[in-house]
Amino acid sequence: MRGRRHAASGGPPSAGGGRRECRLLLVFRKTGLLAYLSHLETMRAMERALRRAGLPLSYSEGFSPHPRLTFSPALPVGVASEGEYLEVRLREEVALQGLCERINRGLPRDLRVVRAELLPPHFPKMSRWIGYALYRVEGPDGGGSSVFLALPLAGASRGGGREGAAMPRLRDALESLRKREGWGEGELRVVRAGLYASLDEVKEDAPSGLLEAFGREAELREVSG
Amino acid sequence: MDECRSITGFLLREAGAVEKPARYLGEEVNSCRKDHSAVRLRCVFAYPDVYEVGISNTGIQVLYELVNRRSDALAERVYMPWTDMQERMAAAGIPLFTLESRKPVRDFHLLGITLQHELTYSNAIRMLRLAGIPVRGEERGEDDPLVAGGGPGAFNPEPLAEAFDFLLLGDGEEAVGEILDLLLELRERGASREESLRALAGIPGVYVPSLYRPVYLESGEVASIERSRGAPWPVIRRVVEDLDRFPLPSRPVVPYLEAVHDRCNVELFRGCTRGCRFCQAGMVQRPVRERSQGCLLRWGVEALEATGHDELSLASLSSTDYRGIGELLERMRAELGGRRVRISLPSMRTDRFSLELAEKLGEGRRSGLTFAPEAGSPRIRRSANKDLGEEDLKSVLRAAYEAGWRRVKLYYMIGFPGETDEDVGSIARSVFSALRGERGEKLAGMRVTVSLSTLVPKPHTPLQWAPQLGMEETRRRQQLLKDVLRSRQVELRWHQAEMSYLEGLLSRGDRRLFPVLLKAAERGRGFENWSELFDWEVWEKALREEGLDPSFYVERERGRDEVFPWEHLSGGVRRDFLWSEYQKYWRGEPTPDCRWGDCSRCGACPRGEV
Repeated sequence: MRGRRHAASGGPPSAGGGRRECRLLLVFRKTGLLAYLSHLETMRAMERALRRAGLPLSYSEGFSPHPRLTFSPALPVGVASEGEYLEVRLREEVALQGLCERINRGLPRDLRVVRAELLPPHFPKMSRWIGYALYRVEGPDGGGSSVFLALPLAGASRGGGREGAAMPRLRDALESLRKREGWGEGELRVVRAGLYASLDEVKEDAPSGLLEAFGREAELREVSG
Repeated sequence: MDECRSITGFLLREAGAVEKPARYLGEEVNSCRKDHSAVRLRCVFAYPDVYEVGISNTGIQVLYELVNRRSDALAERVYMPWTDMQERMAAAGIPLFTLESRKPVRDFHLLGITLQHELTYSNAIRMLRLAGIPVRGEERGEDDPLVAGGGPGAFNPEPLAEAFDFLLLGDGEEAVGEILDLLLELRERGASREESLRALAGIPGVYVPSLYRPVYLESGEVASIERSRGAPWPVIRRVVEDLDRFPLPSRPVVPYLEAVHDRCNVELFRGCTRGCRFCQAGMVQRPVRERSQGCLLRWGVEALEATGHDELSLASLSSTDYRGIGELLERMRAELGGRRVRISLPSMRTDRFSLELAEKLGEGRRSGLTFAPEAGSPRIRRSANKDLGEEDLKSVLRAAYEAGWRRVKLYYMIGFPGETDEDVGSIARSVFSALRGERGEKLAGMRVTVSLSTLVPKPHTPLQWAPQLGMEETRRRQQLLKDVLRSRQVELRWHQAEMSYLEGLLSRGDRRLFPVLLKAAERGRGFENWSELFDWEVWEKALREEGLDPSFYVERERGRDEVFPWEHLSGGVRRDFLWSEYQKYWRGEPTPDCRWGDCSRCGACPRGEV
């Protein structure tokens, strides 16, 4: 029984020659009202987008196989983001050209892949290289004053990561920011402007496109310092 | 435009404060947002329950796509906001709005509400109030939307008929086009509301409640139902004879949050002629109409590709009855190979053949098997015409165990007419025998969930004459089972007696219940099918105030010639056939399935035979 079930759940015959597993890093935006999607809902939406795009997803082994996806740490519900990371394991390499459009077909304007890069095979896993989240905070006066806030991340969540794990720390930081800026009680608008790598971890391995994405670390240190 | 912007602003401000904000955001993949100024007729389809329940309804998706394919009309959707959101909307003065354009529902021309279950009726009323639409049809003005109803509840909508301008009985695929064409024509010539309703009544299957008026006897029974001149008698439900002509939704809307059924559905066939005497769908959806394998394959693949779902459900009233189901499954698996798609059969008969099919699906035994023996005792099953031998259940469960299944869910009902304590106890005996092997040894590791509901006699079924259990008696019979079904291998779930009672009240109710419904909708919190919000006292008080005795509707056996509140509505099956089936119930006589046995002359086939 067991053997047959596994056979049924294993993908199409794995590639003899030519095909190689690969790692794809996607950067996606989650904006507007869709900031209110929970982490789990976002993960499901992205997984379905990948399935619709017909990508050769690689699946985990075992009883209930799942596509091997790694998402960057959960955003607090209600916080928009201009750059979340999603690493996708593929059974074979795909062309990057036109890939974002292919995945975005059918997705709403507020949930979009904006960049796709291939990761080298031995690139460290996301929890090792992901370093900081940069938030843009608008004061209660409505866009008059905005301040950048950089917070170190505890580590990437995998699969069903703890939702809102980053929340208490962000809330504390917002409170001290509120005091520092003398903002009073009004509503703050918070957007995650992006996620940044600890460059020391990846500099040598990172493809040029990635360096571009990560390249603002210096600026980031300035903000957090 | 402004209204839409202010609703979006409201959501941006408030969505963080409610449970599951994704219920209200819209912007789902495959949702259809058309330009309002480019069409002449704007429709909203409403499901009077929370988003994750409503989004799983295939009927709405079918109509949604049919309307949106037209260039002259559009359709949007709305679901019942949960109580937390209702409070925020009320506080901010936000009316009920659609998911697509975030425009107020009252700005549309046609609002179609689906009546899937009696316990959503108070929500249907509350939705009208949230939308700012007068709840009584007669109070609506020329600028208010036409309020339409459909779904199983349309077969006896009387308790809330006055809230509807019209309802459609039966299949909607053909009728929706006819209704839209007519509405467009009526708008063109500036027809009044009253004129429009009279014209709509001319479409087969369309029921306009304001053209009928029940008259009651002093005893409380219906004496007769008067109709205006020209109103059809009876209104006969629609039947689509060739389902292949109507594609299943090729681009179903993909919800963000986890829905009750998170998967693609293809409907194998409509109707069922097994003839279970308690089953309304099995009566009013006759005859059986199968879709062809070719269409099912094509639509299944299309829907999976358009949604990215990983499960395809082959739905119908009794999926394993589909002719050539084995071949269809083979072909589906071949077609879907490598796509990582699970195929599921949601309604299986309790037989070896079904078990073999389940094996073929290879879905993994973790999800378990579900069967619906309905009654524990063979005597009651014979009466109910649920043909299933005692040995069948035993041998199927044993075979399932041997094949590696460890979780089984069994659906049973109590409250069959003439049921004895002995009959109730036989549910426990069936369950325990399922936990024993050939020589009486314990089947280690086997887990059985027993879901126990209370029989609610439905209109247009042989049991429409039958009494339903009172609440006390329901609780007593539930207790009988709770006392004996004690085993670590068995989990027993039951329905709250009051909920089944209310379901029964509304199921066979008449128009005198409308004021009760209005009061309950106003004072209660809606969501009657959610046990945490259900409040029988609200209903009890409203019934008292209106001087109505619920047991008259629920617990009373009707006489052969009693005029039913739904006498002017026809489910296609002849009344005298239903009566003879009711007599056969009491005699315990079977009626064979006409797919394999003789024609039972039920009257449902549109041209004698299909």
